[in-house]
Amino acid sequence: MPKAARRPKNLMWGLAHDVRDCLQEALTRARFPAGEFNLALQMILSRNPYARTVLFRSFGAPQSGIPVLHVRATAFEEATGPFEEADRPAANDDLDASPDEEPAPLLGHICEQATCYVNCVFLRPMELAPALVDQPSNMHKLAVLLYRLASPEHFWALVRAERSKERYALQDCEPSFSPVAGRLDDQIKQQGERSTARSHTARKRYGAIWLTAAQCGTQMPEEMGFFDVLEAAPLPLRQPLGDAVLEVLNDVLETLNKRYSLLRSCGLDPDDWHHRHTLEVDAKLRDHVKTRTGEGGCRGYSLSVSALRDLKRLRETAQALQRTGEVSGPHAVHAAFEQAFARLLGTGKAFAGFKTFQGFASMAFAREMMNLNTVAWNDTEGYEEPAALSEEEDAVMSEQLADLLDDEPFAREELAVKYVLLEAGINGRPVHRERGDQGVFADRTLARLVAASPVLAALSQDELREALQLKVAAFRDKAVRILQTNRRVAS
Amino acid sequence: MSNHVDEGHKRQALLAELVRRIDSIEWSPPVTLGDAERLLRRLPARGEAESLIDWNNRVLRSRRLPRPTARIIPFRLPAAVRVRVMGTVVARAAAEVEGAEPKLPTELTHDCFRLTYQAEGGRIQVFLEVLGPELLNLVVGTVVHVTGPDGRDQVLQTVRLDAQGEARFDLDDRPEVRTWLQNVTVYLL
Repeated sequence: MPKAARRPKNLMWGLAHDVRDCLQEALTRARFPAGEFNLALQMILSRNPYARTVLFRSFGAPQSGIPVLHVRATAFEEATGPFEEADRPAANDDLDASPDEEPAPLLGHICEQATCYVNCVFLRPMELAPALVDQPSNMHKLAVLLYRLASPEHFWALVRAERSKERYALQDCEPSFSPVAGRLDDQIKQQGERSTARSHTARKRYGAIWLTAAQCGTQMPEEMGFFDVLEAAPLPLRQPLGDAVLEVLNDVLETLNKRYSLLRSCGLDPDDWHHRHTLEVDAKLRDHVKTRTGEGGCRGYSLSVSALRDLKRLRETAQALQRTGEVSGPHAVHAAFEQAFARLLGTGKAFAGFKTFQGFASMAFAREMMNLNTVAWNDTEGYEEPAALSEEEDAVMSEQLADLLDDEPFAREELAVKYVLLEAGINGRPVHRERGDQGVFADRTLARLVAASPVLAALSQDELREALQLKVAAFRDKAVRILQTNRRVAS
Repeated sequence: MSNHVDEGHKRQALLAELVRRIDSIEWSPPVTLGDAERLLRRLPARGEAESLIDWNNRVLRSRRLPRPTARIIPFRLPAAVRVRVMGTVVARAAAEVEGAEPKLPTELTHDCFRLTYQAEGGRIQVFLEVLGPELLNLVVGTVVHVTGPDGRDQVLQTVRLDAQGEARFDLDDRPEVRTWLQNVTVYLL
């Protein structure tokens, strides 16, 4: 019987776990290792399941097309070989090495999209939510939770973030508070003009955001980035990052990820953030085109989150139209979008901010959406967000998958493979110690099954992992072959 | 019959889900800060004033072709002139090193037009194209000034847009021209 399903709530929850584990290590140092943590984030994001699923879909390009930076002990180089090849030394990995020479050990690999993700998501300041401008953001809440762990002493336990028109001073505060205040002050100065009009208005109306403790306090930047919070922290933290931190970290990641995932869902490359920070409007030209066409027309268009949601619907509707064969021909993608736009516009005045399809189609991002579709229109699975299963649904699904596995004949010596498939594959448990789990390889059941197999029992731990990985891969290939055969028969 | 078909579909969906879950198994050990430290030691160091984003782009994405990202500077229309600005594009030159020869961007674009550059035989081939059918209808056949950072005082070329809203011209490949081409304004006459 499989153990109770321990699959993470969703992808971001798993990411929050992994980030917290790494953060735990980073925040117990005297100085925050920003460079190392930045790289560690990219290494985490380059692993499964993040590299293979929604975060890094590469516009329908085959997985093997994702550029990967391999870093070996001797040198580093970029390769565009299959992603799964990154783990094992390939013949061309070390150009300097002679054919007989063992390749230098692989220090790590970084998927290019992981770098893009860290740049777009982790290294951008978090904007204030329109409906919650009167209060600190989730990022400020995360800062407070972390700073409270600086010391078990009374002072840090009282720390909190609030908007206030009252001014606080740094007199009589804990000595360890002054450096934090200094770093936050530097961040405010650096942010300067970059903060948005929304935060200027909020600050004017509700006062600045203050980090206060006892009677003293210091201002915090309105729009804090993840690294801003960490770099200003009173290090080293003396207490572990508990579940409360994990919950808020998850909220932060969900918020930061929102625009990224919507851009992806629209088929747009998040490298271009389509945001006012990267593209400002040429007001004169916009007015000129507007008077001639009645549309926003040619302008540096800043896509709001709600506009992106509309565009996602547009894309889904257009995809459905083409999938059902309602539109066809050489310009099917354009026609599908046009029909989908008309359908979603209905009797309304505008859809996603556009009154006409022509207005939408004249935008650079619209052309990007439609052009990419022509390349990878059939790869519908690659575009859709995997539906999030509730815990109950996931348990039912896991049971059904376990039954499916039971139908497969496994030889006696392959029961260990079946166990790994069940626990690591179906139940989503980590293979190694991770996220509070000892890992499947530490399970006594697996040890017993391995001991019962003369072939597996003779292997070292590394050899055993490799052997089981190969056997699981062989099983996967068999399943894929069955899937393909069934699809051919059905069609 | 239909039950049989449903069963087949269900089994097929389960099999696909099983493959997806197997693909999600992470076989390598979890990342630690130590792993990142070892990796970082092998990579070029970050400059003192260099941001993490700039370092990521320089070191980890350096071989990637630059994306056509550009920032539009708000335009101040000179008084009493008959020209109208189409847009100003500035290349993101964060990776430029002071003193080094200016790097020619591959292309500059915003929602109105795109400029594509190619250096060849001591000349820089410039290809200007208008983006979007609506704007095309407005500007087809018109004459535009392509200017450097100093605006109309620094006209690099005056060209007529053809029926496709495109124009080609070439310039001397000199360091100052390369610098100007990172900050181009297109005026519609």
